Amino acid sequence: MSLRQGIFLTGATGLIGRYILRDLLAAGFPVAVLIRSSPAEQAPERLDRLLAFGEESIKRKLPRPTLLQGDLNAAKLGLGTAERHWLAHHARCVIHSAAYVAYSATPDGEPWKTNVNGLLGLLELCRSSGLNEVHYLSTAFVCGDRRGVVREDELDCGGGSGNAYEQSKFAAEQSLRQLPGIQATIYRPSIVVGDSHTGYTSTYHHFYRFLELAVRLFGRPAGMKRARRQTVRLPLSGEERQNIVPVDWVSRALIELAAQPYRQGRAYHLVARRSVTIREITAIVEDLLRFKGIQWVGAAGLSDPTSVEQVVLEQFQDYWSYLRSDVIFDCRNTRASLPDLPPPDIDRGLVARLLRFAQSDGWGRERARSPADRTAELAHYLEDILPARMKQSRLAEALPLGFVFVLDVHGNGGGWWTCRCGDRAISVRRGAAAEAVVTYRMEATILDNLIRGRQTAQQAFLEGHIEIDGDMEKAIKLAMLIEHFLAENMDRTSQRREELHAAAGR
Amino acid sequence: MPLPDVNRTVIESVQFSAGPHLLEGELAYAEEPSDLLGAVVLACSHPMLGGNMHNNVIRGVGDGLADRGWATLRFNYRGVGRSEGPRVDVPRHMAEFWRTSHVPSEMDLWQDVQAAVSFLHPVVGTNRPLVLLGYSFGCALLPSACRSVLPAAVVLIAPPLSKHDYMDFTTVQSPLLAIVSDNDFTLEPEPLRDWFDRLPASKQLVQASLDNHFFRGHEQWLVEKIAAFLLEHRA
Repeated sequence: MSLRQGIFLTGATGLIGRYILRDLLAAGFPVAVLIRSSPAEQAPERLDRLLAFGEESIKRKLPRPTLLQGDLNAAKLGLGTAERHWLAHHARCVIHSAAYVAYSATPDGEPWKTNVNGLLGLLELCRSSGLNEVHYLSTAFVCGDRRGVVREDELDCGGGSGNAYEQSKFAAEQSLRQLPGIQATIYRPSIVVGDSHTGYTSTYHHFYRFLELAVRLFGRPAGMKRARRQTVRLPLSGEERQNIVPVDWVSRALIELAAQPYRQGRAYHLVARRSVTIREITAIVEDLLRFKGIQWVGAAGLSDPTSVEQVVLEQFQDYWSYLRSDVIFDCRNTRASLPDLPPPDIDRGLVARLLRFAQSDGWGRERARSPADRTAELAHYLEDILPARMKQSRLAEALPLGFVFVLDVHGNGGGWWTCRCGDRAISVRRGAAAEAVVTYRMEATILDNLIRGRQTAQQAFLEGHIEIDGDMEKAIKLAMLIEHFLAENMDRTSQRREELHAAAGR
Repeated sequence: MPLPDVNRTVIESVQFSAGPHLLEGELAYAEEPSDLLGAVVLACSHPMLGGNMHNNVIRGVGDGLADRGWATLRFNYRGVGRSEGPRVDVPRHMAEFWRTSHVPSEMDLWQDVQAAVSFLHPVVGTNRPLVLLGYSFGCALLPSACRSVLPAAVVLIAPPLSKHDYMDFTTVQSPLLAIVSDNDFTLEPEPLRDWFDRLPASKQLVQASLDNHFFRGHEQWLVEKIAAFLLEHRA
């Protein structure tokens, strides 16, 4: 690939894609990115955020790439004549990193729709634009549930038996190889985690789900100096190997390989040279969180799981196949091509950085929405949804007639709201009424957590996140009523919105 | 890899029967007790005010005393969390609680405290001292529980004197420690002093500014006060 000419990049809003974009721009390559508008944000704003991320992470200004507004799943990628003209005249190659990550099939046909049909649409556009050089970001797990050594030049030998995501990537690789006139170079990273230097990530799949569960089960409760003690048995031996690579290395490796014309047309395993055992990772996490509570009972499974163990087993149904995988990814192509760029080891320092970032990022839940989103959502919830749902709830019978209270919400999305309890109803208006008997003071993020059921009012109060002015007894009683109400009215609209945002990363 | 400053307290999830109901609890004790000092049953605040075994006072004191050699049991009253219990009409109970600060059968919860004692004391050894500890509403249940057992000590944290009849404590013969916060919204200074003066047993009243009724951030302080009192009265 001659990187002196234009590079058409898809998937720039994904984790690996944003690193590829940053590194390409930093290296001075002319880039065009395919970005679609999401339900909450227009494409130019999304690109602004990607650039801001890149500039912040390398502490220098980056040139702005050409923005091609489109959608991988639309005909001709949703590009107009001018954009297609740009591709035909300026782009030399495509780096296709867009993907839809879903471990089981969705009702609307994902992940095949994006991962297979989207690729075919892109390839069609490439052919019509005279682009024949395609760099495709796949996954090492196209090997499905194979065990033992998997070579880079292998594909159709046991693949297709993994989860929906792996199957779709497997099918995509097959399509890519069979299409005449396309020279495809395939990059297969293993389990990708955050930045090896900063811990940054924008998605929280796989490794992070386990990390978050460990924090929830064994982490230090707020206000207490020590961690909880409990034992969770896992149906694993602990010796299962995990191949984990940081995203910044994957990006660098891909760009280095793509820059060498004589390396093209092959497949590369972008994997760690040494897999770590689950026992090793657990020991690091136990040390960081200062707990000891995992018991390995072997693959035979648990005959009498406790309720906590049941939750663990159910939550990670999608990931057990990865945990039990004893596959070894041969990476001689990558090693030979990148002798001076070995992947970083997964050690205590790296896991600590990943953990620290994830916790500060609220495991991705806060960043997923812009402040403007939150302002609109909180106001909508308080002024419209809460009164409407309260009317439908039997708990409205318990509302103290004539009682007035104020919510004083700080931070992005905040404001004052006065709530009046009427006859089996509650009305909410902006502003703070002087006759309020009680004022609850909190950050917008806390109110958001309460509405979404991530935290109870009691927890938030005991952790010092809610302050109360006024009649304390009535304040506590009312808070319990609201807590019951919130528990029976988990905000489905917001949940749906979170799902949309998660999907918008592709 | 060394694990500095690692807590060696074990917390076991347990279940025990209280009449027809199976209650859930957490039993905490030191992993390698050089000498188990005794058993402490902790009764939490009112279920209608969110009282459960995960409350900061109950959890903090329970774990803190376990660190200091006591086996502690905190639990959820019937109908709370995963403890079994009768069906409750929540809206009706809440409306009544708003008006009166009481709900029907609330004082029957002393049977749950007694059940916790019956579960814990044999586990620890009936020759070892038993301590009953209540927080908020949980304090009001202790005199009834004391009818069938003579605890080595009774500890009351923030007893809401204005809400329940605390004169039953005049019949309790065990050494008693009461810890109250100066600015507790459930307490008036005069009735507190009158009540405390009437208590017959060896007694101690500790007052300080401790975050109203809630003790947020003062859990460790509570542990130290209580542990010192119990060491003095464990015989």
